[in-house]
Amino acid sequence: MREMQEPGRDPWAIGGLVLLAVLSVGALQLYRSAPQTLADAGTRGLVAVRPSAFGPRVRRAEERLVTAEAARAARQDSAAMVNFGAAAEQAWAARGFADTPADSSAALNLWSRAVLGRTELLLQTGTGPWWRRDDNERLQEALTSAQRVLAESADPEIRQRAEALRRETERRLRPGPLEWIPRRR
Amino acid sequence: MDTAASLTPARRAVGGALLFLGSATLAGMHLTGDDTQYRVFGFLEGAFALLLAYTLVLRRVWPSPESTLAWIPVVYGTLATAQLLDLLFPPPGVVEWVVVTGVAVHAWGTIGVRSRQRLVMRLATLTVLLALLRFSVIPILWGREEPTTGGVLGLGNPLEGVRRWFVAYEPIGPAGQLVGFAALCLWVLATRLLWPPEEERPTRAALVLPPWDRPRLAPPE
Repeated sequence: MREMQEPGRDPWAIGGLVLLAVLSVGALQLYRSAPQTLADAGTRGLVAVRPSAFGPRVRRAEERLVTAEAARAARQDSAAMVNFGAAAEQAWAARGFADTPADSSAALNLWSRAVLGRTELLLQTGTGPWWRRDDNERLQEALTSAQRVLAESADPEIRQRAEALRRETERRLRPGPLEWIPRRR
Repeated sequence: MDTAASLTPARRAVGGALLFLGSATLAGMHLTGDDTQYRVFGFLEGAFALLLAYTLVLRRVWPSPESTLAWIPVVYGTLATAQLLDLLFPPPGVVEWVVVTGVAVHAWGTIGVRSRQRLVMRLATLTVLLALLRFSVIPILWGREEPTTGGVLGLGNPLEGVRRWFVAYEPIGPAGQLVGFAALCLWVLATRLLWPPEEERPTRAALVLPPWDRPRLAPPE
């Protein structure tokens, strides 16, 4: 009982109390962030520990991109949209922390892929069937995203994909039956 | 050398609190088929956890909190118990109302149990029954395909009525059940660690009265 009332004499008890406090805060953070997979928890933790480092941001962006692709394949459009947005945000932040041009280029490509993935989803969800109007706001957002990628990226494959999306979005935005009439180039 | 017996009460308290924290953290992670939910217990589970903590301290399954440090494992233990009850109780609905009422009535009898070994056995049996209902009976009844209507007077299959007994239900998968079992194991380990070692043959007064009401014996002259 004497030891119970005087933990200051026992270094193990003091260390255990400190560990208990740290793990309690960690558990609260875990429940607040609610990660869905171990990879999600890992990359989120890396970014939380080193928010101004290039590597953790890129890994987080890659993980979010993989999750977004999986959600899109499972036809969970809203989850895919959120994850594409998170991947783009992390990749853009990583670009700001890049030390070398190669790193900056890699982060930019990652950002472009995330933005184009989101653009494809916007185009898909903004296009209504023939008997319903298109969601022009979404289509306009898709057009803006595609144009931004064309303005930022120099990768030929990404530019080709962005250009195809831009043309498709512009076609959909044309009013009424005009969208079916090919434009003279 | 018996490691458990050589631990000081302070180390036991801190070790027990750490294990209870692990139990509470794991018990709140419900791995359903689609996602992982991070649930925190509600008022009902919290109230039951307080009642159970009082009973466990009264029957000396957990040591009596007679100092600040001794309160820490009791607090964390109560949290872990509430999280485990949230995992074990049926989903909200008519079944939950019936089961919780039954558990509340059962709690009256639990307080009257004299031996702490019997108390532990009663709690273990209750846990098994709740787990049977939560992880076996309800998922099987819920998982039946939609039955076709039929029978006399168009009453349809009675199993269809089972689905209407629950307000909201998401089945926990096998991985989720393993996580829940791990949480239960941590709770049991923590309780075993905190189990007061010195009392082998308690007096009648110690069995009936809480620690703060027991008569203090005058020291021998």
